[in-house]
Amino acid sequence: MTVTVDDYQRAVDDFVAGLRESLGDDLISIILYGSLARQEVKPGQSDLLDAYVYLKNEVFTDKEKFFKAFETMVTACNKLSLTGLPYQHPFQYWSEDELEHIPALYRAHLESDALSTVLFGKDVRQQMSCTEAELAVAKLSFFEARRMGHPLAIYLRKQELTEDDCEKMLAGVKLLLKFLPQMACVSLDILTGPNQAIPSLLKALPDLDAASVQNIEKRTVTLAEAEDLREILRATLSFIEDLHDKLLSNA
Amino acid sequence: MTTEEIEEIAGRLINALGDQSESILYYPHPFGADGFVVIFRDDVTSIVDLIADAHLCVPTETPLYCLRRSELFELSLPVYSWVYLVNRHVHMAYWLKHEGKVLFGSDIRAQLELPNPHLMLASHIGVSTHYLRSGIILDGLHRKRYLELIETLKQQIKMLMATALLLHGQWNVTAETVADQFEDSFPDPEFKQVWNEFSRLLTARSDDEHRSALEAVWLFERFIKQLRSYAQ
Repeated sequence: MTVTVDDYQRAVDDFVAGLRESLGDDLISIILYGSLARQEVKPGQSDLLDAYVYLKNEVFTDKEKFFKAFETMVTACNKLSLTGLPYQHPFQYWSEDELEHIPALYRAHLESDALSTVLFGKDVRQQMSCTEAELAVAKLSFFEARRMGHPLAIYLRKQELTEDDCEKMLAGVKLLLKFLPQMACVSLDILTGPNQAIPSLLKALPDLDAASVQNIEKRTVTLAEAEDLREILRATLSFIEDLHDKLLSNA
Repeated sequence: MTTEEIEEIAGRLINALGDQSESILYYPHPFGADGFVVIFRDDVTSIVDLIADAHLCVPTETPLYCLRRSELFELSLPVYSWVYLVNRHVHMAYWLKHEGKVLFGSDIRAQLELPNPHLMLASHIGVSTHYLRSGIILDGLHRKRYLELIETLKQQIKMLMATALLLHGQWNVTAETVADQFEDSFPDPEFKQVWNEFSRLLTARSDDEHRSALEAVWLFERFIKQLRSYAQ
């Protein structure tokens, strides 16, 4: 069966209807972000569902409401996982008073209509903020987070690569290139979405060379291309170390 | 980690990287895996290859920090990343500075600055809400991994207690002592009630694991909410 964008839309509509019906007034807002919000869904590849679900504070102080809300949210997860569309992780839930504690690393997603959209309820995005400490953490996170990719370096030395190795290399590279350029942007006070992170870095750091890590998201795994993948891994790790060095010298 | 294991890994690291390194250290970690730190000289080239060689010397699950000498300050920075990485990073600089062992080269521990505990607590609470709620709590309930969820939340509360204790300068805690130390330093009735109820949940075996898991989530959320008030 061919998956279409309409299938995603139906899944989103069912998700919202399910939460509205069960949570009633306890549901304040549902904010969608990610590829669905950016209208960049790749049918059959894009995940369901990047969303922030905001609940009234009373849900977190009244045990009966709390249990009911969780039963509802778990039912929503069950339904999403049964749509037949890619489903890897649940949405996020927050209490109303946590509007002042949004994840500072990803605040760009929530400050632009191009990157997020209101699925239901109040547009709480204007109320969202974070503390100075949370902002400082976000700005500093790149430096330690870059070490997430270091264990992948063992594949640069492995004699015979298996298909499993190739899958791990490519998944690791995609993950690093999805998150670390965005983190570097936050370090530089650049608020941008995932697709614009590397172009924004190239503007801010003109000596940065990203040519070798462009279009990697389109790569697929084949054992015949194992050596190519190994070079992609090397290029990615080198790019990240170079980015790190330039951020430090820019600081 | 046993002395023999440390010596074996140290031997491999020194053999592979000794001529490129300024210092190689080991640190214990009471809540998670002990780890190693390899500090390369500032003039090394091709750091990606050195990182590859270093990781080949250490078992996959063992934390390994590779950095240049001039990047020493990075060990004390907070990080907003996967929960398990943050859990093992928050106290790392403390254990390295106070209990670490120099396996090779110079002793850089005196130059290692300790983290800002307020930033560490902010990052720990942040990932415990952002990533843990979605990836552990809702996912655990959805997949009916109830007992695993309860155990993870207990462990995470202890981790958060340990990070909060950094505000009082207390870094030397273990999984066995942290709850008592936390109660002494944060004599707050809400914390006390939450931990007492969580402890009862763990000891009183319930036939309704689903209900117990929801209770654990309820207590975890109360704990987080109260802890936020100390992190402002």
